[in-house]
Amino acid sequence: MTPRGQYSFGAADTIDGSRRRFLYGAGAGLALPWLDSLPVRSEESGKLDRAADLSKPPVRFACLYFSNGVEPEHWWARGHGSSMQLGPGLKPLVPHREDIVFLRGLFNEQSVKNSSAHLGRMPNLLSGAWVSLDQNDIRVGRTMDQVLAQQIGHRTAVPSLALGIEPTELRLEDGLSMIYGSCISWASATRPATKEIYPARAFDLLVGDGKGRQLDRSVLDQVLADAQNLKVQLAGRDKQKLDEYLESIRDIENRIERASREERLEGWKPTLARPNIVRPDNDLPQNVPEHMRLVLDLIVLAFQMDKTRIATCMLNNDLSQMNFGFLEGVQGSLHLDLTHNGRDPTLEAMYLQTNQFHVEQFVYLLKRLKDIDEGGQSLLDSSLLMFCSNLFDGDKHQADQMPILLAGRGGGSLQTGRVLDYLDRGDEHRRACSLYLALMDRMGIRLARFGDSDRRLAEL
Amino acid sequence: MDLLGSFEYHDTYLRFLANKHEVELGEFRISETDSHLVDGFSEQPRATVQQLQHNYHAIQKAVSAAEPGQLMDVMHLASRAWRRPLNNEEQERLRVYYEDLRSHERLDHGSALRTLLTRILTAPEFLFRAERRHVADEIPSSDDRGAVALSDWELASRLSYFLWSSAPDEELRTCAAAGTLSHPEQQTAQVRRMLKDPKARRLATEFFGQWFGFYRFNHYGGVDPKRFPEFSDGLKAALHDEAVSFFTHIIRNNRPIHEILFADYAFLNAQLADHYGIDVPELSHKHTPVADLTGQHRGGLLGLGAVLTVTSAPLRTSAVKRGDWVLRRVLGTPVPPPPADAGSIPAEDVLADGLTVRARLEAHRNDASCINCHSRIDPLGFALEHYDTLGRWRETYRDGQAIETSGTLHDGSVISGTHGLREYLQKHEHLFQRTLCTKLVGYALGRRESIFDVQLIEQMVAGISEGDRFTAIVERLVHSRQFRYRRSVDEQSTDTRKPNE
Repeated sequence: MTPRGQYSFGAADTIDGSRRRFLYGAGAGLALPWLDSLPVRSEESGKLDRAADLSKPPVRFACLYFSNGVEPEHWWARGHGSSMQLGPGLKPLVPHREDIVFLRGLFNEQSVKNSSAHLGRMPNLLSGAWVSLDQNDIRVGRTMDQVLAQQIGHRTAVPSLALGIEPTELRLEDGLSMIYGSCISWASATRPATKEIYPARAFDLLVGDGKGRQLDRSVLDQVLADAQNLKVQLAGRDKQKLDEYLESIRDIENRIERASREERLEGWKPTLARPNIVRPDNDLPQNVPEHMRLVLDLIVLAFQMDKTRIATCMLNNDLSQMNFGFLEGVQGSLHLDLTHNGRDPTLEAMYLQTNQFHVEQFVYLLKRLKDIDEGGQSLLDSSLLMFCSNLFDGDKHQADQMPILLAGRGGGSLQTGRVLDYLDRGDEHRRACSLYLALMDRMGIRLARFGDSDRRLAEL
Repeated sequence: MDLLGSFEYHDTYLRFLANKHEVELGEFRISETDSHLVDGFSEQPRATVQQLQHNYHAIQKAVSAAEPGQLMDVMHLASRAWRRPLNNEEQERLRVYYEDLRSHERLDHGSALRTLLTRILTAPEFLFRAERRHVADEIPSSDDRGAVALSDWELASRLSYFLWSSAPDEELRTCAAAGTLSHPEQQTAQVRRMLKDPKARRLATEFFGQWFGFYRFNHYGGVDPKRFPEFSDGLKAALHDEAVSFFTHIIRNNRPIHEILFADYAFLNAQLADHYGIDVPELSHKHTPVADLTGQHRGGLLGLGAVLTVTSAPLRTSAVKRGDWVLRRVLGTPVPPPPADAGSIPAEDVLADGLTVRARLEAHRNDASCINCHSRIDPLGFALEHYDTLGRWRETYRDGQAIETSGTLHDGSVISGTHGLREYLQKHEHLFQRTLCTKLVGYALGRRESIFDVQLIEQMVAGISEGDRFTAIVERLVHSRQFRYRRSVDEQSTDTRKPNE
């Protein structure tokens, strides 16, 4: 295996806060040429605010998902701050307990009601929507990250990143499409956000050189015209299909559009102008830990360069066949061998190791963000990280609560080092969608209701 | 582009000559037409240099003379990719686009063609199989039920994607252009031709692969590699090939449907024979039909290693998975999914407490909420217990415990071993036939079957009992209204009439 991921952390660290503050202090930030030409958008209230925004890093959101839940006995937290106690599943988080908020008892009502124990309870994790069980109608709901992407995605070159490790599968599982089990981010009720599992492609998306964009554009103009011509000749469902095509063409157009005026994007001037990691190989990394690390590094890179402020990452698909033989003493695949372990003690121990491994990935992201300085505060301070699975007890497909925890201070909007327990409160007070409303607030998007909730999560 | 036409070749040759004859070329290049180029050379090599220069320019000229022809080729490719003739306006648009790329974008011929190809292959006409409301400016006949006859070109596409998973070939295109494809005799002739064609192997790969679960088995990752190091890429490919070859044979040689379940032959190569522990002399790496294998526990769908593997758990066999597979995929009578908290049995086959997987499963079945379904599922799976995780025949479990293959179904009948399962399937063969026809209708039409398809499916099933083989079933399907017409009204409105599942 080639030693990829040799990163020069130094470059980021040496762009020190004082020089940045000097530039802003001298008004350099305000002199950016884009201010006049940008259309005024409703959620922006004038130059003064924007100038104020410029002095402060934006809030970033990342969600890390792992499939198949946890072993309940291993997943708990008590106390607060530096005296917080964590269950064995969360062991890798011990040094960082003051940076997290442990949430207990949140759930999606539509998942509990769904009879499909896996696929009916997974693609709706971030939307709280009903998962359609009609084979002819793949339908869930737009997820909170994609709501954010639509509302504030235009502020960065890439509206949002949907990353993963395992490929999107199209086979049927119990009569349902595995596209459900492969996607946690949904751009619309019927269309998942394109999930990228190739690190090289994600890298290119973030730092593409703009070559060929002109040509891409002209091709898009042509096929868009084709599609318009075709549309008049179609009926019913076919028309809808074509609309999805048109939508994705427009997505690409917007991306090209944004990328070509990259230098003139509004907002914060990132601490990193050029990538500080080398472009990954074209092929998929052959081992899982390396692959995950690379994908997490890309999230860090994207945030640091302010290429996007919204990212999701699936460490595995639902019903994952990921084989955990790479962990010392573990044998077998995640779903069938280790999650459904029949309470065999040896297998339970292996299952615990997989949980801890997933937590370690989250800790890695957390630590890297914490080590990046953005003018006197860390990138973690201005981030909201979420770590979650859609099931609590994975063996029992338990959906009436989900393992969720947060990290980062959301630009000062989230107090960490806490355990919040909602389990014994009424259903109205423990909806995951209430959490999403509260998180979206902190990203600057205030919605009256989302999914099955119209209230913010109390005490967050 | 032709290597001999390249600038590099001729210029290097020129430089080689200049070097040999000690001529100072300076900035001169082979591409220059200036005759001074040759002045420095003495009489004898001068002719060679002149010839070289002449060749270079002649080839360059030929290359640019070929450009219009290449553009025509790309236009022809567009018509193949879009699966219909381009109308004048479309041809004109493509041509204008190419010219724009040359003049405005200042691309050379090669880059412009590449971009034009990108454009053709990103177009919705290529990516989608659109069936139009109007074809060729004439309003198609619409009957009382709001169904519209497909055009010949649309029929050609339906046929070729159904049977070949690909675009129509030249012969189908010729029929479509001649307008004969809407004639039933021509449809029959094409179905027969297409099912005999090597491309029909894709029907085996796609249709039978998706139906029975060996689709992409050559990439299957559901076996634990530490426990089964012999499950190599080579073995995966061989097992996949066995299944695909078997169904290709059924399709291309028009075998009776009966053989899918009860054939006594299998397609083996040396590696597979070795894997299954069957002594067949003179096998190569190539899959070859081997007959009379019933005594060796091979032959037919249930003897396919790929199928037996995908219905196993990573570390052990799973009577539940296999039984559910027989009910769902073979007989088309699935049981409802288990309750979410049903729990599970261990991944390992040999356990420290000495209880067999079977014993655990039996205990599980004593639970009243489980018994209803598991008494239908488990005996069908237990009958296959002699096949191990990788589909090999075994006499005992790894720890020496005996294998018990009999079980009592919910209706009191007892199934014992593969022989018993065969008998059971023979008795219920009509269910298998119905599943085949239902799946085939769904696959051909690209949608789930609806209540309006029941009659067609009945006819196809009746055909089988009258002796129809594979080709004849496909013919019935292709001649059906469902295949030759499409709905002109929005499907939404018919959806409301769909029965509840």
